[in-house]
Amino acid sequence: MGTRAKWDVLMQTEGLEFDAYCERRRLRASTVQRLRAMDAASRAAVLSWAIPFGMNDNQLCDVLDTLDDIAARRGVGVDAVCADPMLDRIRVRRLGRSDTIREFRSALRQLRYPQLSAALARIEDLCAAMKLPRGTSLEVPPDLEGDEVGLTIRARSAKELRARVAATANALEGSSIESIFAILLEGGE
Amino acid sequence: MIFRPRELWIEAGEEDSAVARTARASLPDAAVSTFTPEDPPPQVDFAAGKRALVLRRHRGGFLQHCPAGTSGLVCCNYLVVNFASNCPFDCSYCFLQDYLASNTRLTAFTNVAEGLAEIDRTLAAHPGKQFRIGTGELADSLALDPLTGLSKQLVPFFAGRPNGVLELKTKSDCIENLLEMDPRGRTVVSWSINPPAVISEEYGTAPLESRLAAARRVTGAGYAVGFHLDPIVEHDGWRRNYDDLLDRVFAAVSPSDVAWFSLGSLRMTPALRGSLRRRPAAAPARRALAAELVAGADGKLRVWQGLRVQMYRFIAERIRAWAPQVTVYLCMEGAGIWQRVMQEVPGDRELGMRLAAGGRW
Repeated sequence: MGTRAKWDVLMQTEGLEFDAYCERRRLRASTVQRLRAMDAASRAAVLSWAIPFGMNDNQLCDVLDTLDDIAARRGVGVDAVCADPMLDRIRVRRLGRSDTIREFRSALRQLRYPQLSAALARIEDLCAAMKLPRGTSLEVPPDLEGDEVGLTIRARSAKELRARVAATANALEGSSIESIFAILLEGGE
Repeated sequence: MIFRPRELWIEAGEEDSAVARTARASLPDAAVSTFTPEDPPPQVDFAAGKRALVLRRHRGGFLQHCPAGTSGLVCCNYLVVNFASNCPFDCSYCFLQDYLASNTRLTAFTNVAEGLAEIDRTLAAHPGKQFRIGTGELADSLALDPLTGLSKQLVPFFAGRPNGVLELKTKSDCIENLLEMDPRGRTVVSWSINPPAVISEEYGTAPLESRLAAARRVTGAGYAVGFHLDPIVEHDGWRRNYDDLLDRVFAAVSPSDVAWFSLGSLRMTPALRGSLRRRPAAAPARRALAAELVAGADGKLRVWQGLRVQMYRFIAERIRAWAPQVTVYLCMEGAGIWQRVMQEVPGDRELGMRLAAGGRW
């Protein structure tokens, strides 16, 4: 029996769990109403994350908004979004409560912004391919909404700094940095 | 598709204005109430505000500069004239949901002659300058035209002005009044268009095919037409859908009849996004909310810029493939995006002149 099916049974046999969760996390009436208005399969799928990991009202509202957006984008129900293998992989990692919620929301964001996530992943790969020296990092603007790339070089001595600047200059000789700017400014096409 | 409110509110003293007389004749079954400025119609929510029509005098200036003329955006020197406020349509993404949240009543202004006099003074004061003036900022230019007959005052007025071009911007197919007049090359009728997948959330508007059929008919009556792909809404399949949209446009009209295309990406404030989330279940904003919008430096939400550039380029290239001579411009975008998409950053005056010269005048 899958996770959601198990949860359906749980909801039928232990219906009070939902009320107890709403009370324990002090969910706003509007949030409770929103959950009740969902179709049963979608509600069960959401609660299978919200209850075990004790999401608070803000977290739950954010998750519901994001799930709605993904579902609209894909033309499917929220339950189908919750069945994404990327989310299942988080559950089996058996992280703590806060880490699980953080990972869950991060994964939802990747599903919510598929093209942006792909662009960020490409930039990450290109950064790795550049082999920047230790203590050096390349930063792109949040959500790629900006024109500038930042480069930070940290060093504990003048000698180390000179060596890292030289190694960085060498790393920037390849075409990766052009590709990074192309993604940032033009989407990478 | 004509909007027919069941309720008319007319300001005392304006009953004999041309707008009020036309509206009453067009709506013989509507309940009519009179009000004074001291005792206006009661405030109602945004949805209810669209169901009744208020006819009243406009206080203050009619003519304003388009909001794109601020904050470092490339500007096309467009002027807006407000002969109405709010719109009978209910596009899911519409900024009026927030902008008019405390002034929701769908309103047509009755003192049109005063607005025209203000335009006349502006045009006469700068005879060597070309002006593009539109009525579609706070309202749809033609949705109320069957009720108010406003176009019958505007089109002849501009037909006699050598340095003014009127733009009537609409999502309707209400063009019957236009067909009876000769614009003498001084009126552009433009349509805000999108793929049917997006139009499905422009509640109450004319379907794409009706808009394009109306465009074809007005070209036959001597009008140039414009098209605004604004807002461009990013969604799965956007390339295919916008490609198909342009195929349909050019199946309907000849490139030689098109004055301009504008491109503008969906944008909204965080507050407006909140309003979109609270829309009624029967008229949701799914497409608009699901687009890959992120917050920019100004706090507004737009599709992240790399994807925005891709979308603009794709659509601009498709337009140029169909109509190499037609002016294409970006709306509400800065110099950086202009350079990357159009390979140029025109000055405000230059762009305005180029657009004013792009039609049949």
